[in-house]
Amino acid sequence: MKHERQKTAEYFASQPTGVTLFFRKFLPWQIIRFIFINMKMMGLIWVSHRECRKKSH
Amino acid sequence: MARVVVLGAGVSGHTAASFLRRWLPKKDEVVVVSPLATYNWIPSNIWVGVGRMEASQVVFPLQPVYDRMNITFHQAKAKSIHPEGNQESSAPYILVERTDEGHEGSEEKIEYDYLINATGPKLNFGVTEGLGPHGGHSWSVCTPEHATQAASAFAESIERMKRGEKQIFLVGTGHGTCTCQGAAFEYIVNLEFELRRHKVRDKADIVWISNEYELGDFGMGGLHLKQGGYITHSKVFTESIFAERGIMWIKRAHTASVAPDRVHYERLDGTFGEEEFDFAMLLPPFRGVGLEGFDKQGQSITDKLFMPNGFMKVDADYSKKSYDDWAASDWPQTYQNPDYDSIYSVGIAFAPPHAISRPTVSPNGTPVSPAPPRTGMPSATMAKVVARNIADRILGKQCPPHTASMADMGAACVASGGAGFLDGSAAAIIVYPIIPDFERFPQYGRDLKHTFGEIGLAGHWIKNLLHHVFMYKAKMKPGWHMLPE
Ligand SMILES: Cc1cc2nc3c(=O)[nH]c(=O)nc-3n(C[C@H](O)[C@H](O)[C@H](O)COP(=O)(O)OP(=O)(O)OC[C@H]3O[C@@H](n4cnc5c(N)ncnc54)[C@H](O)[C@@H]3O)c2cc1C
Repeated sequence: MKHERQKTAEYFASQPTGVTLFFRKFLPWQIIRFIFINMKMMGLIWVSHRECRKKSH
Repeated sequence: MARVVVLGAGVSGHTAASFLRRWLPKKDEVVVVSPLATYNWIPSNIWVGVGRMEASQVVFPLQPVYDRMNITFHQAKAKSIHPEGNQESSAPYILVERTDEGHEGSEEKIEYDYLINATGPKLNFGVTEGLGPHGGHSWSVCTPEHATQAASAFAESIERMKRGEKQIFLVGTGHGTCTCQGAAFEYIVNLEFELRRHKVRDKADIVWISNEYELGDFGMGGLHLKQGGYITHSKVFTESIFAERGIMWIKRAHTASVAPDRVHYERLDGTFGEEEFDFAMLLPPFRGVGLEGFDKQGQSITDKLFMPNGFMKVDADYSKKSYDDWAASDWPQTYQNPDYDSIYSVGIAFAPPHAISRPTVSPNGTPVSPAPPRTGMPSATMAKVVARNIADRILGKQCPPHTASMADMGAACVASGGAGFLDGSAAAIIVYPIIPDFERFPQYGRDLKHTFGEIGLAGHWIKNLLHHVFMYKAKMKPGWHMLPE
């Protein structure tokens, strides 16, 4: 199939290395990331509430 | 006694009604008007659309929940708003058309003291010839029914590939002004994941088509993230995900028409192209659901209540400005209509003051740039704040209104990249604020401390967890109000 416009675009894109791919599925690391991402999300909720509260008072 | 009427039982309407019921005494009435008998957790439609979930897992009937919570439910479609009443009475009311079995088409008048318009989008398939599952040639995952149809067409393609046929899959935006690229992105990576799971990936070409200027724009100008010692635009990550999975892409494209086997599109540079497909899932552009407004004399005030795109005017700055002059402060804070202060609008139903991604037009005059998205988390947050303000007004509390500007609010979005407990993945993205604020954060418009993205299995667990948490919350089971939006 011809994809004349994008054949090269793939070539220029960044690609994950084998190590990155491994860690994306590596259970002990992913459990840590699960906790970390949840904490990040809680932080986001906190900062959003803080900013909205500031405007309300 | 006060009556609050909520139009729509989606993410924002259902949230507003739930909190109103919680905060108002029993004597005050909370009424929900929605044309469908069920609630749909829309983000999980993606999994229905690839055959990973049944439609029944992403919906539940509203009536039993509302009966239990003492919320009045009208299965009906709102048609018009009469904020000054009519010549007989000055009590504001809405006119609805019932959609429940046996009463289809009959009209009713419902009076209100406060009104929340949370009617979401009209899926505007009609603007692109041949777009959509209703007589067109592409599929959609915007509703559970659409997603179920998409899943059976997808299963058929898989069967063909198992028999040795090649298939071309095209996924993306069905018009130059679409939003919701994030949902199409999730669909294409889930589709790719499923093809690998069915061991037919080698028989498939997968192509992304989008109106974004760069991949990873998602209608919000993309976002910058700190990663690997660099500050990197989301374009890099999105291209990387596509390249890793062998997905080809067409960007800066306005889908002009969809034929049975190909789309015709116009590029931002004014040239034209076409792309063949065997299976296409293309999202429609959105507009308001077409509510009308009338004054006491029965004269139309639709243009006072709504912008030309059908979305409702709220406390935003809608003055005509160039893109370079807009400010984060143009975005609404209280979601109150400027002319009728007992009317509010939340979620996708409110009119955004301007695009977030830079608007671009082809030399032929065709707009090719995304409209601003309003995802689940901000939709629910603004709904809760509006519920709080209405409850305060009814309870006679003398306090300044609570605010929920998208320029003060962050959003967390978890884009599924394949469903599997040990082999799934998702991109967890956190952005703060949603509307870039170049006064507070001059370089990128966002706070890089709170803007973050990561791909991995943990993201899939979170996505899965969110499905169950939000279904639980929407069913208003014990402790629902303590769960975050
Ligand atoms: C496929 C897909 C995947 C998505 N994935 C994500 C995601 O992963 N994360 C995320 O944050 N967001 C996601 N979104 C966006 C999210 O679904 C929306 O932000 C959210 O649904 C907006 O809520 P809403 O209440 O404004 O509209 P909706 O949820 O669409 O609700 C609108 C309600 O109004 C009702 N209605 C329509 N017309 C009328 C009328 N005339 N009268 C009365 N009621 C009416 C409808 O029946 C519905 O109940 C996704 C969207 C799609 C389409």
